[in-house]
Amino acid sequence: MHIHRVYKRVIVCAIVALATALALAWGPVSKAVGESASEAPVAEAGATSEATGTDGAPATGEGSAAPSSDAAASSTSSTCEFTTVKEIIGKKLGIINGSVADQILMDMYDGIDQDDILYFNSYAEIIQALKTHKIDVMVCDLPVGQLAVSRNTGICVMPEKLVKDQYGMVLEKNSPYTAMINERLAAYREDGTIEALYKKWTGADESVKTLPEQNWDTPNGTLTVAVGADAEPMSYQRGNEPAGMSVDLMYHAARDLGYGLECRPLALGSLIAEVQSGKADIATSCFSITDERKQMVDMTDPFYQGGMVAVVRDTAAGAGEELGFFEAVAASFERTFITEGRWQLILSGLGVTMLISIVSGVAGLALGFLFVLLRRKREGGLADKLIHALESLLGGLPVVVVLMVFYYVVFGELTIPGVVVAILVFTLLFGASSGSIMWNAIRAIDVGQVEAGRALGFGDRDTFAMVVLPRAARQFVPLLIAQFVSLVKDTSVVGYIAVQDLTRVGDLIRARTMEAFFPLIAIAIIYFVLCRVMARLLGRWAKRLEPKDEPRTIKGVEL
Amino acid sequence: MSLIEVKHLRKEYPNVVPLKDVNAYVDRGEVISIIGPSGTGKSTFLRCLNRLETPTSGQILVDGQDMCAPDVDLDLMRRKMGMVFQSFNLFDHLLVAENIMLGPTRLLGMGKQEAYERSLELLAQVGLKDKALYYPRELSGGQKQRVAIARGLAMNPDILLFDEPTSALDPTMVSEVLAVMKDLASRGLTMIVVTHEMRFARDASSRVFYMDRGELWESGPPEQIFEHPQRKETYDFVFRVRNWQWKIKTLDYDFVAMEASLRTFCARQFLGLRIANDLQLAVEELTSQYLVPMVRKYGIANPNIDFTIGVGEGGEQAQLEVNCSTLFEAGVTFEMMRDNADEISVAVLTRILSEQTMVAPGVMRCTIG
Repeated sequence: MHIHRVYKRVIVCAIVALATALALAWGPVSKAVGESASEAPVAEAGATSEATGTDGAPATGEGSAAPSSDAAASSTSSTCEFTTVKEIIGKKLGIINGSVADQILMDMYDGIDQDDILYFNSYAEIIQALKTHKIDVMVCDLPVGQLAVSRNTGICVMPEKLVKDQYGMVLEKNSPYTAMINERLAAYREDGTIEALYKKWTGADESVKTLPEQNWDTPNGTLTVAVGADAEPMSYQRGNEPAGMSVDLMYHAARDLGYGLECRPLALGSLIAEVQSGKADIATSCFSITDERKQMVDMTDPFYQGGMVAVVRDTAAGAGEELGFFEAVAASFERTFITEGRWQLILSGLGVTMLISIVSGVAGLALGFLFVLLRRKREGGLADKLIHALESLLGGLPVVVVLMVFYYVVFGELTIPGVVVAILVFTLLFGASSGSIMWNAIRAIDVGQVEAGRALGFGDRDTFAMVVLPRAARQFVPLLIAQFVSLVKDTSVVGYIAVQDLTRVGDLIRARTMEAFFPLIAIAIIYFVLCRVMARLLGRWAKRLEPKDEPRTIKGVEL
Repeated sequence: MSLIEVKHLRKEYPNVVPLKDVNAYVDRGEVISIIGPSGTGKSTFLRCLNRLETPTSGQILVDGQDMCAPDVDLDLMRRKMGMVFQSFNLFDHLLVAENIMLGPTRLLGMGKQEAYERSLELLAQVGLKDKALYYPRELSGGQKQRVAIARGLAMNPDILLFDEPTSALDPTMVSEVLAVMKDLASRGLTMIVVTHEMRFARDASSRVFYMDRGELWESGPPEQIFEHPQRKETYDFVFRVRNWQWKIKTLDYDFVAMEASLRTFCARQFLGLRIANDLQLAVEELTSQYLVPMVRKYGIANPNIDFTIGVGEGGEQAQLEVNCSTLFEAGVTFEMMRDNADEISVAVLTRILSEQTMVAPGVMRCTIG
């Protein structure tokens, strides 16, 4: 009983600490959320028409750093902390992982060094870093910048553009589809489809942002498309469905070419690997067309020509109406859980996390026990040595590395779903760790116990099952429970191989709401509760296995 | 035919040969004590009998069955041979009764209820009926060892092997275990006991084996081994075991080790608490009050003081001999020492030591108890 009370106190303390952190980190939150979205129709007709003319020529090469006054005019304000490129040289720049913005900037501007550039996993994080002065500039593509400004206060797009840029789709080197798609893109440029789609996906009207039904004939088979899941408006994920302008474009192309489409939303960083390993035919998101990329993969002609902009802090911020703490939390809660039915996304992520954890936990335990049985056969024998080597190897590698090696190298050629690979990898990892935990506990059992069993006349197997194992279990069961909880937490890296677990879902929501803090805390709390509940349940079950102090009974005996 | 016959038993390890060439037999109903210095193959011999150790060569016949034959069913044979270990080796995760029931229920097919009743009977026999529902960790060492004996008996073995059953026990608990073992011996159970308890060996065994350096030097009834040993090795051992010697070479001698050694000796000899305490006190007072201050005063570099304690038959009396001839040569007499010591020490020693005689210059002998 006493222990339970301590338990509760610990949990309460943790929650209070989390809430305090939440309150401190919140800072002033303005009501303007979402309001400016209405005045931010990003549609920059100039960009698309420009694309028609230049047709694939790398825009970055032609000194196009000249400010384009009309670009982003609607969200540019005179109160930006910086207004020209000159001013931001030497400042801290935040860019997203997997983008080539860093190289482009360093090539174009003297004075921008590697040291000035910080890399982030999502735009939500960059915005948070910008607001909290960890960086001074968020470097992103114009449409992303527009969206960011429309959904956040206190930031603005710097009037002078950094770089002109153009997007293409990515295919495997020498893919048979490249020419086909280029031909379609040219046609869509001619007939105005591209411009119409751009307007549709960057407009304020959310209701029209849907993809066409797949109801056409598909005589030529199915194309697998890896879709960048957090690059709105070019490609993103809404609920469980892909969305975005470039995806819409692929739908048009597939329909006109007679292909079916299978779209898989993935993290930006894993898209190209997905194509290179043949797991997807096409990757589409906001890939800038660069010579470096062209050496590795095929890139289509541009379907969009915009540019890279700098989002900086707005010095006039704070003038807006401030929301109270609870109102702000309520607003964030609604954005994170309610809007677009995101709670369903979170539930499905939680389901995936639990599925991977529990299946890997059970199968891993069985594997670990098998390891123990094999090692027991002959200590110091071949099996013992091999298993020990495997345990050392897996124990000495970061989980995420093992996971990616299995997904991209070991099963690289096979189209096995990421969830299955994740379960296999975590089964192996948990097998190795639980096996070594059990083995060490078993080896620590006094040899006298075994001798006593053998001297009574029990065989090797009976002695193991009746004497050694029950005694060792008292040592290793608590360790296994802790190891299992740690497994649950370790599964949070499966997003790297395109599995949508709880963490990944949190990333997606953050990408959509461009809010770093609340979804992160929400996910943290869900993980915490999940781990505590599992540990408690397992702990209770383990307690039942232990010899009870009172009352003392012997099964099958009347005392 | 003997119950156990051992022929040319040899056990080798890479570095040592604990058993060289052992030949022995044990008849049904015999109680065999195996004595000898530590680390000379006694336990290895015992563990070879039920094949917890695998002999290098030789033959062990139990009930006519060769324990070293490749087709022997060891598990079956072991059921006929219970074993009691030095460190008890009770199953800590099971209740006392469950420890005893495990063998009969799992190996003999006995019903649980019946096995439980039987475990109570056996516990009553070793005086622990009220501990049936205790965990081993809740028992004292002596109680644990008695439970272990009951566990061995539960399989109705033909032979019970004891591997130094009292060596891990506090001196105060030795007697309760030995009492149980004596009781078993008187009931006609065949027992083989590796022990340092000379009194048990003498009083309770039908025959005693003396083992040293991997060989069985002598076997015979206790009177022969303890009173008229035939071999020089046996004689030396039996004699030495009854004496305690300690030499103080310098003033930095290890006082703690000396005390511990004396205590162990007293326990082994079954000396009463009073006489053991007196011995301890006498040695302590003599060194700290009589001898050491004089050595210091006269600046004797190598004092070389010898203590020898011999225990008489029955353990009611002990003889203490102090050899301090180096002091004597330097002109120190016992009278001078006494005059130098404080009054309490003198009073204590006068009470404890009787019949003080000088057997040689600087060698004093006295009786305690």
